This record gives sequence, C-alpha cells and structure tokens, in this order.
Amino acid sequence: MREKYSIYLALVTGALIVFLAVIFAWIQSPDLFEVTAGSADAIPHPLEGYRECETCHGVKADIPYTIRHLGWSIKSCTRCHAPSDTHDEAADGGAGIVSMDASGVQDQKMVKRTHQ
Amino acid sequence: MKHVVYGVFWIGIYLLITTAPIFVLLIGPGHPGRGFWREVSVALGFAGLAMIGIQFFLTGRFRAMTLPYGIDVVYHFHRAISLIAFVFIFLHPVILILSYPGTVMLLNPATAPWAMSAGLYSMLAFLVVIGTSIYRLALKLSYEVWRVIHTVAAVAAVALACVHLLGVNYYVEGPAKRGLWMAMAVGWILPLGYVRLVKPLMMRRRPYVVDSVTRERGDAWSLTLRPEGHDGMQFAPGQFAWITIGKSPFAVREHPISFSSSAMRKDQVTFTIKELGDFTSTIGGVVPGSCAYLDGPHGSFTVDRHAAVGFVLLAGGVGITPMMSMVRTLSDRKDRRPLWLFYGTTTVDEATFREELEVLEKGMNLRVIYVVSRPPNGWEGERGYISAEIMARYLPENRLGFEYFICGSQVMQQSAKVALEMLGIPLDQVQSESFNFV
Repeated sequence: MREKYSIYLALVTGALIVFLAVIFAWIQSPDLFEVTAGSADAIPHPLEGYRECETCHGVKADIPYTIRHLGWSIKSCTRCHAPSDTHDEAADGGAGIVSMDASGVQDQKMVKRTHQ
Repeated sequence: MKHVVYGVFWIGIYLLITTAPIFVLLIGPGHPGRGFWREVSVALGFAGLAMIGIQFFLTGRFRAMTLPYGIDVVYHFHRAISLIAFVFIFLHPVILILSYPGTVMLLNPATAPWAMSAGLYSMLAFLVVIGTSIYRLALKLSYEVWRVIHTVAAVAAVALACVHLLGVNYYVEGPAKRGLWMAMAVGWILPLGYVRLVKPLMMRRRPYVVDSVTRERGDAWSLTLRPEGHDGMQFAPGQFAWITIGKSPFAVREHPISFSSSAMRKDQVTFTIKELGDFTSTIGGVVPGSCAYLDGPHGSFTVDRHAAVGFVLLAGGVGITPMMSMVRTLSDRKDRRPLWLFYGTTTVDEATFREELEVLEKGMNLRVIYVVSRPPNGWEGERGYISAEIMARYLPENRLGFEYFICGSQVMQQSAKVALEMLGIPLDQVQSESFNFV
C-alpha cells in the first residue's frame, strides 16, 4: 500500500512535469497550433525551381523569414505555406518570380507582409 | 494534519525545483523557438536532469523531509521517480531524432561534438544506475558493491549531463544562467557529501560498544549496544536505525534494523536481527566489545504518532522486532490501553521472544495470539496465517477505534491489509513500513 502510494505520487508528479514542459514548448513555439488555425500565409510564387527556400529566405538571405522560424528545416516551410491559388503567372511574364527593383526594398516589404 | 501540510509542502518544493529551471530559461534575451517538439524535448531534458539532481536529497535521510511520509515512502518515491526521470531523459534524444532524423548522427561519439557525446555518456551512466538497482540480485551484486556503483554512476550521470547542457549552450548563455546551473549541480552533490562525510564524522563522536550478542528463537540474534561517552539515542518504539559495525562510520556496510528494546531505556539499545541475508548471517559472529555506530532514529512506524484507545499489532516472522519495542515501551510506561499481538510464525519453537511475551502478558493489558502455519501435534491455538476470521475471534466490537500496525514480509503485509479491510478497518488506521528497495 505504501509502495503503491509512492508510485502514484511519482506518476502524478511526472504528469505535472510533462504538462509544464508542454506549456514551456508552447510558449516558445506556438506554431504547432497556428498550423491547425490556418494562419500561415500563401507563397506568392510557384515552387518549381524554388525548392531551396533558404536561398532567398534564410536568416542571412535577402528576404529573411521571421526569427521564430530559426532552426526549422526546409521541409517545414511547405507544411504551413502553400502556393497561392490566385497566383497569376502571366502578370510576371510566366517566370513565376516576384519582381524586384534594384534595391529590392519594395518587394521585400511585400514578401515580409505576406510572411508575417 | 500537520503532517499533511508538510507533505503537500515538500511535494510543492519538489515541483518548484524540477520545473523552475525550465522557466528560468525564458528570462533574459529572447531565445527563438525551434519547433514545438524540439522544445518539448529540451524541456524534458532539463526537467529530467533536475529530477536526477534532487534524488541525492531524497536519500539524504533528512528527518524534516521524511517525517510527513515515513522514510520508506520517500525511498519508494526515489525509486519510482528515478524511472520517470530516466524516461524523460530517454525521450529527450528520441523526440529530437523523430522530429529531425538528421540528428541521429549526434549519437555517434566518434563524430559527434563533445557536448553531445557527454549527453550520451550521461544517459548510459544513468542506465547503469537504474539497471544495477532493478537487477541487483540477478547480477549477484552484494549490497555494498551495489551501493558504490550506485553513487559513482549517479554522480557521473549528473556531471556529464551538466557538461552536455553547458556545452550545447542554448538557453544557458551568460554568466548568470551558467552560474545557476553550476550552483544547482554543486547543491545536488552536497547531500551526498553530508551523508558520506559529515554524518559519519558526527557519528564518530557518538560511538557505541557491543555489550552482548544473544541467540534468540527463530534464527535471530539480539545485539545490545551501550553508548560510549554520550547519552545514547532517543527513539520512538517501532523506529529503526542504520547500523555500522566495525571501526569506521565511513564504511559502506550499513543496514537499517529496527530497535527491539524499550524506548524508555537510555543506557542501552537492542536490535534483534534474523539471519536472512549476507549481512544478517554474520551478526552471530560479532564480538562483544566491538565498535558500532548508529544513524537514526528514522521511521514513522510507531505507536507514539497515533492517539488511539488500543493497538493491534500484526507481526510475521522477524516483523516481531519493532512490535517488541512497542510492547516493551508500553509496559515500561505502565500503559493500560488494550494491546493485541497477532504473531504469525512457522512453528511455535521459532516464535522469537516467546518466553518474554508470556511474562509481559501477565503484567500488562496484552493478549498474544500465535498463528502457527506448521503447528505441532496437539496444538490448540490458531493455525495457518493471520486472517480476518482469526482476528474477529479476539478483537472486541469497538475495534474501529484501534490503531493497527503490520510488520512482516511483503506477502504477509498485503494479506493482513486485505484481512483488515474485510473487518471494516479504515486503511488510514493501518500502519506499515516496507523496506524492499533493492
């Protein structure tokens, strides 16, 4: 009986610790739940030829993703972000590339808005 | 009520110490999250490490901590929570690998960064701790050898885990957080130093001398110790102490044995030990005049903690030892409350203290009922094992007002509890102690 009491106490303590660990993880990375809420922005360009997301959107790239995505693998990108259905290939000459001016500022802002 | 309050207090402290490090990580410059499952893995790793560290406190025999629960409950909790801590530590790399399969390369010590290898070795050291504890008898490890392995491997596991987390250096950057973790690591080892160094030094100043070693019925020996140069030990009837026999209190060879003498006697203490294992079988060879040291008293298995109108003692085999302390103490106190002793024994000849119990029965309000599993021819007393039917024949109608104490083998304790339940005795009026740890 006393041994069982100790085991129950340990199990309850362990369960509470797991619960608090999950709370911590959710504070740090709530994205697990954002995925199901469908709040991830659509990709405004086709994926063909653009599978290496980090080339343009890595932390040190020209159009960086949000710092919260640091450490995530490329496979994670398309889990949440899908190509937009309204993407018009004809508007950008069929190349499927978001146009950028010499400084790249205008289009960086546009991309950042869609990714935030 | 006081013990319930203290009990809740200590559980709260435990949760605070194991989970506060997780949330301290969030203080300071923001650390970007790296994915939900990765963060769950990290949190379990930190919590698991904190849980291992606190294990040193649980076995430090601090009375303030053990009194609310009973030291046996604390030791059983130590066992159970260590398995849970190991599951957390094991899940730490498993979740990482399942979420990011590329990280499996970090398990190869030949190519992995040193911080990762330290984590791997820490987990292996912890596996040694767990494995040798669960399978001590199967591995044929003596208690003393097991104890050394247990201590060394546990210290190695904690040290290597700290090397791992400081080497990975995520969430613990900066002198404040690193200092916190190093201070925690040192703090965890302190109870070990207290038990293995400070306490033996204190015991060395309170030595005992073996006065006599007396053969008792039932392959048992009564070891009587006399305090030398001090007043002896104040204990409650039913408690126990860790005994070390020999020249040094630093010896690893110490064992928990119940007092069998009256708590009212200050000039000497007696322990009655049945020949059962590697240590107890050597008791008969102890020479009077030998030095001995006691760490105690410990335990909450005592009549002094319960105000009841009467007591019922259920003893099986060597379980008679703490009961004898209770009976002798109540006799010396001239306590007139009714006392029943149901003594389960294999044969009548093996009933330890039989003659003394006959004398005590005449001098106090005590009734001794022997329950003999192999009765001799012509035996008119109770047969078999202590059962509800047997107890119902002797206990009065107001038995719900009594406090019940059980001491014996695991099987005997379990069957006695079932029997008491059948008699309608509430379990919170049933006391027992279980010392089958390793």
